[in-house]
Amino acid sequence: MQQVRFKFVDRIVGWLVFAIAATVYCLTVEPTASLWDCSEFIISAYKLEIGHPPGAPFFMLTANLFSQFASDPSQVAYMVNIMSALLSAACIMLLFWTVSHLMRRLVCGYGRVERVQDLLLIEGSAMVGAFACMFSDSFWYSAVEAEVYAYSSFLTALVFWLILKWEDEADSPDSNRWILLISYLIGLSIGVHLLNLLCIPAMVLVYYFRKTKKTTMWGVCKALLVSFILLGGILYGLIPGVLWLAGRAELLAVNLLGLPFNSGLVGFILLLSILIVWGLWRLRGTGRLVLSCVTLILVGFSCYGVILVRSSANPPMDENSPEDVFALKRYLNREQYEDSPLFYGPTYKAKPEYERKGDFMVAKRKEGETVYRKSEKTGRYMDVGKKIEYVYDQNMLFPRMHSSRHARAYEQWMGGVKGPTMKENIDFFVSYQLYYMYIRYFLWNFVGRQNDIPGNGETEHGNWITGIDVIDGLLLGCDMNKLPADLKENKGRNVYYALPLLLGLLGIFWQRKKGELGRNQSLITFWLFFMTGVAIVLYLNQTPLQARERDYSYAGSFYAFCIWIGLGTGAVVSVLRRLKVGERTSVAAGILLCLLVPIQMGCQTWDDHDRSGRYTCRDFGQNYLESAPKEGKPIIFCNGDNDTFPLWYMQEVEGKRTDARVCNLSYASADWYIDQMLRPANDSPALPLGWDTEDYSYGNNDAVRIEPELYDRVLALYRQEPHTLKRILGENPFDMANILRHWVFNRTDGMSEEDVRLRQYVKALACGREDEWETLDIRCVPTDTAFVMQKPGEKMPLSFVGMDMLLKSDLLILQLLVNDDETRPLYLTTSMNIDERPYLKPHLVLEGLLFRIVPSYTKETETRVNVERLYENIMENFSYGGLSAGNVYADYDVRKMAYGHQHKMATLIDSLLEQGDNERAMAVVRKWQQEMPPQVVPYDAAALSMLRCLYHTEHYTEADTLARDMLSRSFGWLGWTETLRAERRRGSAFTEYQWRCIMEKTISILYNYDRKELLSAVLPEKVLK
Amino acid sequence: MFMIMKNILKIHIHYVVSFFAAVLVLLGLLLMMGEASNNEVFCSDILSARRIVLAPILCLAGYLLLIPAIMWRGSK
Repeated sequence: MQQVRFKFVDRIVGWLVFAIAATVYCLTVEPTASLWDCSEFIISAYKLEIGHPPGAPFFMLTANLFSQFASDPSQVAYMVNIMSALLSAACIMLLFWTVSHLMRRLVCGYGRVERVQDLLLIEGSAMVGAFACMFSDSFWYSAVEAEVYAYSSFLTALVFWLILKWEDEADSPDSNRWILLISYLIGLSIGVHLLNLLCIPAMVLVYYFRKTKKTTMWGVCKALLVSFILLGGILYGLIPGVLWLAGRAELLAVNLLGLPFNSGLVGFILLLSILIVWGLWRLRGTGRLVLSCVTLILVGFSCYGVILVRSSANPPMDENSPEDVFALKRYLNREQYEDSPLFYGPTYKAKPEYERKGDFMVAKRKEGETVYRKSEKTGRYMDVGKKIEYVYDQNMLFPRMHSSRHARAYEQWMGGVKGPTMKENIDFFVSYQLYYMYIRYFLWNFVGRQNDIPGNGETEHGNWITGIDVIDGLLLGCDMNKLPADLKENKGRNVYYALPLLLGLLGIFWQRKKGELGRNQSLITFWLFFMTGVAIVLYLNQTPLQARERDYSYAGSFYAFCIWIGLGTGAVVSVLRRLKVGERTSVAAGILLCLLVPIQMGCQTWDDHDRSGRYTCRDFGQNYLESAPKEGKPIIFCNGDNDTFPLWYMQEVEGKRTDARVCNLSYASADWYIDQMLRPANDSPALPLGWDTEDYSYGNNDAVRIEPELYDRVLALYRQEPHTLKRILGENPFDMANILRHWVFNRTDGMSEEDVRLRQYVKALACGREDEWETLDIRCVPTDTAFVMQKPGEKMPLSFVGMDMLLKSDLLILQLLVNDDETRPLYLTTSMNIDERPYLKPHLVLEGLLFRIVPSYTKETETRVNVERLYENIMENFSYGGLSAGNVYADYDVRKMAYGHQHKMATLIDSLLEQGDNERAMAVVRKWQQEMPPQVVPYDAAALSMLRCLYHTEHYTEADTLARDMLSRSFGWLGWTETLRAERRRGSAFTEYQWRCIMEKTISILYNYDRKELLSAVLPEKVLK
Repeated sequence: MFMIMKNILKIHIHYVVSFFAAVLVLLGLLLMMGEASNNEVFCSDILSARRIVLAPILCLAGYLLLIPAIMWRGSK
């Protein structure tokens, strides 16, 4: 067999693998936007708006091209998803070629592929590896949605494959072009996701093994050291260094020379380009190669120019507004998120250290670099102080329990923490970060996954399982034979009996037995596997209670393991050879046997990765928007990812309900977000806040204390000097308008200078600090019971009882309540945790997926319902994402949102029954059954309202069936939780409680409607046993 | 133009193609610039075809053109 022929066959089979993968992914791709960040990425692609830090400009450019193929805006999301599908398929093709390259070296060395069985073995094993990756859980998840992970995996696979191409050609004079291309792609990949840089160590090892004559332990160490210097150099030297220099140039040009913004940056780029051209012209040999590589990385990185330019246009979505070089640096450093210490830092119990300063103790702080912020008013960058880091008292090496917000979560996970001592620290690292947040995901992919419910250590949520009941029973500490039907039928339950894992392990052993070449290869693969897996675990330093499962971060590591799965075929074939059935037969049999492994994986994973026909993200996002009336330009306050991004997607991409203003309160503490709220967006006018930049800028009014004890003192002062005080603190001191004006923002408009000084004195007097009144800037809320004046004489009471302070987002809501002339209705998403803003609770009225905030209030604990609006929304305005088709996969997040809808339906049914409107109550029941059938979204506690309604309207047979179903599911769950080992029980206590409630309520409904026959039929046989 | 630059200036073809790639990217960025929204008006021009269709395609074309520019084997 000729080498040429091998190359030809290899290429053809590779493209065939691409075609298969592309077909699989295109068949299962989501036809519209997906939950979490996908909506954001689609907006950033289609309209080039700015998504969350650190941004993905090259993703934006590529996905923008794909979005151009959409026939209308509703197809844009589909086209961006298709891009992910095709890139993932290309990634599988590259995996095929990677495995075939490695296998060829193991089977034929550097020589030619001469024998047919060798060719067969090489191609067959590459197919096994490629298909295993194709059908693996985490990889497939990212392949069918608009996230950066598919793209990032593709680029990682590409650069790794390119270094192997270089290895083939290393002796030819123009082999350097591969190195140059890799540098360029690394630069570009920063504009997709940083994950790509992690394959540098593996690539440097390939280079080392190819270039050195004799490999030594010391040589390998040196090569790895060089690779880490390269990695750190790009990440912490080159990119921040260039930005720092650009920042200096910008300060020089703008602040010193008074030139317009960004002129310094442009000048810097020009100067740098000239220097580079001059360098390339003068340098020869290695010097030129190094400079070329650095230049190409920077050229790739230059795609961030798109971010700068687009952010300057102030689009509706402009997260962190990175429109100048300083803001861009903060954006790239992801300063919006808390960073976690890596080598040395405070533990979660650490308190800030204090030091004596005069008479006071003040928190010890370290000053970092100066923070510059652009000021449109002055046309300059303002120095807003130094970046402050507090000094903590309890520090340790390699701190793994570091976040004070998660103190309880750490202690719960560990079952109590003393120190944390180094032993506890390492225990947490191993048991949570390494095992629960990485190895569990790894085993999901290659051993088996219990279900699609996100886990925090509970027995019934998202563990890894083998599929062999005896082993799983021991692993989970329960009786697998009594598993409730809900868990057994969960589509996310995938079991592979650990076969892929075993095949991969065989691959590792077989590879290592193939002499020095094999050992070198396994070291390279190991570093790819390690850097994209454990190294990320070390870097992320995750806290418990993550918002969702994070397996998608480690797809690169699972990709690397699939290389070994492919090589495992070699091991199986070598075993079969011992049977002496003939060379070709044993090769063919081995390949067929091994191909069964990925095929079995695919049979398990298909049903929970097939997103075709699912329109839930689009429809549920639209339902939020439709819950608000079409008139009055409503304002919608929201909080999380899934009640914000889908709404933005509907507005920005599909152009729906652009009259409504979505205001995410978790962003509302940031000045850049309030800037955007003060601008009109699409058809929605700006929020009528009336705030100046100083009122909300960085560090101003982040939180204002509530001081209830001032109430009496202020009243007493008013009694003494009513006229003066009314003049300086307003007619009524506890009117929210006056509180905001005089106590929070210290407004001076329309007041004489004397009055302003007098106000300062009076406030100090009320606080009992009149001695220092001249120096004090008092900002607080002097009561915990305020009100907002609506129409003359009508008050909207607000109670801050139990709260310590109002955050900037609270001030924003209150200011809108004060300024609102009842023309722009205010809404709150029902998915928000309302306990964080208790003062709004009595003013809420349910109208759909939104609460309307109204002036009137209720003393009842139950929220009020606008039955007519809710009925209209549920029956006419809402759509339900194609769940009615019955064969759509509703994953956990989709189910959660569907339950959100069902709970509103249940409330509506209850309210209608209470009004005696049985007919419309039944109409809601029918709508529910039709739109969200139980085989897609199994009934939960909300369905009890349906049951009540069915009995009430005398649909006895149907009601009995439902009751029997609810009871048998409850018995299933409760019977199973009984079998849990004692120490695992506590984790499942909530699930047990939920089903106990459902069982009890079902039984009491049956009693109420006198269904004695059913009760006696069900109870003795199931419960009394 | 290609040939002229290659023959007269005696510059290697890599650099000629790289130069055109850079021009495309810069042209794209220039076309992407323009008016911005402010507190008074929402500027619909920020979503015009020039700025969110033509400009990004030129940028992407520039970035992709650099790949053949690097990989060109050239004539020795």
